[in-house]
Amino acid sequence: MSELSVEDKSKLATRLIEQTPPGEINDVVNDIRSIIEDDNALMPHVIPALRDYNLAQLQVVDHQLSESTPAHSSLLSSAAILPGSEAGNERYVDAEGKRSFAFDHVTLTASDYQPYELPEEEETFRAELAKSLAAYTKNHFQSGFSSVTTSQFPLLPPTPPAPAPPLTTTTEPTATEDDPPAEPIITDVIEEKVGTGEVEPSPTPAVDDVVAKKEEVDEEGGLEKVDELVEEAKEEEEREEAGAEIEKEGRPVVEEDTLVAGKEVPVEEPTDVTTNDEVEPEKAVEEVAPAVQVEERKQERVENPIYTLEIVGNKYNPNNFWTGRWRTRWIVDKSAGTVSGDIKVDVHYYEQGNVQLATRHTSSFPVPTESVESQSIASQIVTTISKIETNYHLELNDVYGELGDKAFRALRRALPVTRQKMDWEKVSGYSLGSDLTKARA
Amino acid sequence: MADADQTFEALLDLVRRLPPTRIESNVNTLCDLAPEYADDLLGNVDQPLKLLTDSEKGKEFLGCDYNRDADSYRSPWSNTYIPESSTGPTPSPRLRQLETGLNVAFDTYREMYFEGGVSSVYLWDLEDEAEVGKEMSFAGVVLMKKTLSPSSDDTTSAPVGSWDSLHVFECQERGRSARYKLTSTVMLVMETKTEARAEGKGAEGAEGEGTVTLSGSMTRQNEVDYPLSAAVGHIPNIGRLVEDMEIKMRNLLSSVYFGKTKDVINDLRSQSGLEAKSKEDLLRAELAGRLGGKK
Repeated sequence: MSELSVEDKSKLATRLIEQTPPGEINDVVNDIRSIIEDDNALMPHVIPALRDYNLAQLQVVDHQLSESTPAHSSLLSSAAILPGSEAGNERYVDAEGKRSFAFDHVTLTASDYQPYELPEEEETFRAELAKSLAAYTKNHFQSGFSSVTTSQFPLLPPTPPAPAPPLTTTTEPTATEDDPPAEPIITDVIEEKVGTGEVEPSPTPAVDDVVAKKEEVDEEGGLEKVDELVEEAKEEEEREEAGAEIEKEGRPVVEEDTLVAGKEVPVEEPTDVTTNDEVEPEKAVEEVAPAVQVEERKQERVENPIYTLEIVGNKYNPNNFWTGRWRTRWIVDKSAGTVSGDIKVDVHYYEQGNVQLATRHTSSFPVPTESVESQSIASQIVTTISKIETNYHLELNDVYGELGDKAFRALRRALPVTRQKMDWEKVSGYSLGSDLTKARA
Repeated sequence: MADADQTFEALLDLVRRLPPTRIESNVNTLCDLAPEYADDLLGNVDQPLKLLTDSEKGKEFLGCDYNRDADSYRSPWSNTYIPESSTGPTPSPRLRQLETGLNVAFDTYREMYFEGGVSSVYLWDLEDEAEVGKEMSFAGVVLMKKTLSPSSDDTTSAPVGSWDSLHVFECQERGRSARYKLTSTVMLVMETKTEARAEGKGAEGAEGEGTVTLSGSMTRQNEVDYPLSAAVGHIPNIGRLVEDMEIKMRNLLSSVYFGKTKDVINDLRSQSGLEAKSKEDLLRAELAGRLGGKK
């Protein structure tokens, strides 16, 4: 058989990349480079393979502190591809930072940040999901990262955005109360808006909230709910404090910036966008962007965008020869009325051996239709996700017992039925003994 | 040309990292990538054993690099190559006699530990001409394979999997004892399903399914001196050596290796929640703080 060309070898080699265990991509790529010994031929094939790997493995992208956003992270995935960005010049969404960016799949660095602005309806729901998912992630994953993206097209890029106005320009304290009640009370978001305005935050809901749900602590699966509540309550309080003492806190100011950016939405909103016209934008529009040129480009829009919730939990301990990754992807499809997800766990233990665990689990449940006991739809979705993942986690631990007892014994017993090791002298030895002894003698 | 050792090291490193479930196709790929190392690679990396049939004897046997000649494999039951090969080596008569005895003994061993599956033992001479009565030196391999396939009537939850073990040894007779050097490799795959059970309490209306695959390969070595009064004594010696090693490796796999992956899962994700311990306190403090703050 004739030897393959370097080109063919490079193609072949990059197929190994997708099998790479968690946290070992550098080792695998460097091994491949040592084998091919021709980076010029190899790298053009490695890069698309790395891109696929990074998207499939929910690569965490760190975003540095910037003028408008605190340091945070987002996840790469197929759901995070900026709609409309072309292959070869693919861009990804940092929904939390309201930016899109280009990504170098080799150095794992983001660059060329551009504004990314969702229509308010989608951003509101997305942000709620993101907040709940972040709370769940923080509580259950030691080294976990989450992000929520939507398939909705972003608003057309604004003309160079006005410098983020100082806090005081946002003076529509009542605006959010006029929001269409389509999304039942999303405490986080609404509180946030109210809290940052001049109006005294209405004092009761949050407390009622907590008290009402506290009763559920004793119920099955109540723990997660409480966890989330505690988390939400804490955040709420922080926000309320922030509303009162805005100058002292860095973070709320940032949030305010993003809010203000949100207010710009109507500026670019073409007429076929049919949401939230109650947001009394006129004044803000004039202040923030007095000279918007209506662009010819048409705002694209999907009717029922899907929302993708993703979590990745990574733990790498190469000094002790193990690495692991838990991946979660849940897709909220309101038009289909389902939330469907898959959970993948990969573990590699390679001390004097090569042992790998790979699990794949798919699941789905109906999208909740209304808020229950003041728990928003977004929060209910994440609560159910949390329960399913916890049940799955429990089942995984049970599976070890089953595999260890049933499957392992069915393959090879620890000891024979007699509970004794073999009596080798007895087994066949003597029947052959005479012949062999003769042969030796 | 770069450092040859480095290239070979990279090949072996990949084998150590990539999933054991795909070892066969990956080794083929690596051989295509570095044909100059193909022989070394095949000699250093154990792969799942081939299940073959000796139709003359009506028995199954196992194929690996040690009983292979081109595309033919020697059957331990008939001592012939299948398909026929005129070039394949066979052991000397007295080694063949020992080989026959070992195959019978390990067939019993297989039945007692595996309750099914297939075993084969192959020996080969390490000297060109072994004189009768002279101290022998020879080498051999003990092979075990068991596969659990999903049965048609129980497709839901029965785990499936496979066990492959190779015990390669060298033996040097020394007077009234013999020295055995053993290198053992176990390759194991176990797969089971996860079910709707995962969607139980608190998630009514949900449904789901999935699979869990645990796979592993590990290699260990041992070297012992056992007394030897007669050639037939090799059978219990090799038997005990292999039996002890398999017991040790099975225990390592089930407790250390699989246990470790379970620990890592619980490191990745906290089942009860990282704040579970202090949740009541937090809630209480939260309420107190909130009420206090609100006058």
